[in-house]
Amino acid sequence: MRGADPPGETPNMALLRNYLIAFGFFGMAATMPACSSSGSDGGSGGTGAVGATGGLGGAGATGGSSGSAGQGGSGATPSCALGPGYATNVTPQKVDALNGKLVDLDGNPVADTVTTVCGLSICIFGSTDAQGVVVTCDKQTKICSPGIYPALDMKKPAFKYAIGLNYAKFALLVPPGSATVDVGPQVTARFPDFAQGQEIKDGQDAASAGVTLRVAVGSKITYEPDFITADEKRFRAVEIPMAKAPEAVDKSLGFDGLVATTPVDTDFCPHAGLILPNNYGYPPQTEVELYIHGVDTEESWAPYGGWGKVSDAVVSADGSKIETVADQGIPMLGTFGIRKKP
Amino acid sequence: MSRLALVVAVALCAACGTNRPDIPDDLKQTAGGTTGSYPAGPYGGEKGDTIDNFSFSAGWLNPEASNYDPAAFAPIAFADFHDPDGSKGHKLLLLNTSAVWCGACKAEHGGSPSKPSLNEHQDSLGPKGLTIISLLFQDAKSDPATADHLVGWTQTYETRHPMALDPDYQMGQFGSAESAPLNIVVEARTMTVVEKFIGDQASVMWPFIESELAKR
Repeated sequence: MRGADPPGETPNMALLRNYLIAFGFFGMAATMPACSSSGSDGGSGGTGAVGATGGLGGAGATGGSSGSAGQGGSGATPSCALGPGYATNVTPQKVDALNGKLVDLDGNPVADTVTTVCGLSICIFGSTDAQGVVVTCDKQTKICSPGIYPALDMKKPAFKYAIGLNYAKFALLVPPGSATVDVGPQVTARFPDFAQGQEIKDGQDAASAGVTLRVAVGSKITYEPDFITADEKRFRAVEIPMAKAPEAVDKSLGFDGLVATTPVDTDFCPHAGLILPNNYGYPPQTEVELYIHGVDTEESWAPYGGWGKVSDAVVSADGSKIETVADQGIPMLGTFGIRKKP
Repeated sequence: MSRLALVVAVALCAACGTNRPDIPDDLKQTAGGTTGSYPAGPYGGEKGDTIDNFSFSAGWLNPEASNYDPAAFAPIAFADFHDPDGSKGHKLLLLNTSAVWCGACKAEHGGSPSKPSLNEHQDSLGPKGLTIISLLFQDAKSDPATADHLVGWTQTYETRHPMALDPDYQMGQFGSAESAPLNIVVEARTMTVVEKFIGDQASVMWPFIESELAKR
C-alpha cells in the first residue's frame, strides 16, 4: 500500500527520501511525520514514526508522538508517511516446494481459499481443496495436485494464507535451510458474515464482534484492490484465543490476546482509533501495546511475516475496554496482538 | 458498470482521438492508433525477440488523470509506443504484469519505505525516455481481472503511467500465470526485448534500465 507524501514533498523528494532510507539513513525516516493532519486541532503534529520492534527490524524507530489519530482534522487533507520499513539486505533462500493444510479455530478444513508462497520480490499462487490441503491447480484441466512449487530463490519467503475476505490473513515465514517444507496444519479464523460488519466512514465508528474502529473526520481511507464491493469493504473483526493462535504469532512477544480485523491492510490517514473489549482482565488504566502482523511485503508497519508495534493503548476507567491513545492509533487494519506494556 | 455500457464507453473514447485530457503530451501523437509499421519478428518475450504487438481493450494512458473512470477506458496496444525515429520520446518500455493476489506486485506498484514505487520510477526516468506499461491479469482469487479490479488497483496505488487489463493474460506467453510479477524491458525503437526479469528484481532491474537509457 501507499502512503501519501509528507506535506510539501515533491515526487522527487519522495524518491530521494526512499533512496536515503534504502541506503540506511533510517534516522531520517524517524524524523518524518508518521501521520499528521494539516490544520488539525487534535494534536501537536507528527514528529516521528511509530515505534516498531521485533523481526528483522530490530528496535526500529522509536519516534515520539505522531499526529492526531482521533477526531482531529476539520476538513483538512491529512498526509501520512510510510512506516519505518524493515528488510534491506536479505539473503535469498531456495524454495522448491511447500505443502500444508488450512484449518479453522475448531480444526475444520478451510476449503477453497487462496494460499501463496510469497517473498519480497515474487509470489507463487496456490489454493486449498475441499479438505483444506494446499494445492496447485491447472486452470485448463482443473486438475489439482498437493503443494505449491516455486523452485526459486526467494527473499523472505512466507506461506501466506487467506486474503481477509472470509478468513484472517497470515504470513508464516518459511524457515531457512530446507528447500522442501511441510508447514502442516495452519490455523486461521473466520470473520463474521458481511451482514454483521459495518460500513467504514470517515468521522464515524464502525463496530464488529465488540471491536470498534474510530475513524477521524476527514480521514483518507485506502483499501487494497482485493476488496471491491461495498460488502467486502465493511469492517469486521474476530477474536482469536491465544490457546489457538496460529504459528505465525510470535510467542516471544507475550501477547495476551489476538484480534483480526478486515478489510486487511486498509490504510487510515490520520491513524484510526481502535477500541477492544478488555477480555484479558487488565485493571483500569493499565498501559497496553498493540502490535500488527505484517502480511504484505511493503513492510510499512511491521516486518513481513513478523509483528510491529503500532500504538499504545490504555484500559478504560471502568476496566471494560482497551482504547488506543489519542495521539497514536492504528495505521491500517490487520491482525493485532495485545499485551501489557512492559 | 454493465458490459454494454463499458463497450459503449470504449467505443466513444476510441473516437475521442487525441483530445482526451488524460493523455500526456508525449503520447498524444499516437494514442488510440499506430503510426508506421510494427517491426517484424521473430516475436516473443525473450532477449532479442520482437515483442508481440498485443492490444488490450480496456485501460488508461494515465489512470490518475482519468480519475480512474472506466468510462474513459480506451484500447492500448504496444504499437502505440513504437517509436522508430524517437519522435515520441520513448526509448525504453517496461512491460509490467501484476495480479491482485500477488503481494510482491503490490509492493512494486506501491513502493515501500526502502523501495521507490513504479510511479516514482516513472517520474524520475520518464524524462530520460522510460515508459512503464502495467497490465493487471488476475484478481485476488486468480480469476481474470475485471474493470473493477483495475479501478481498485489504480486508485490504491494512484497510478500515473499507462495501465490496462490483460484478463486473457496474453503476457502469460512469456511467464507463468502462477507466478508474478513479470517485467520485460523493450527498446521502443525496434520493439526488441532487451531483458526479462522474473519477479520484482528492483535492485538489478532499475540500475540496468538506467544504464540502458544512458546508452540510447
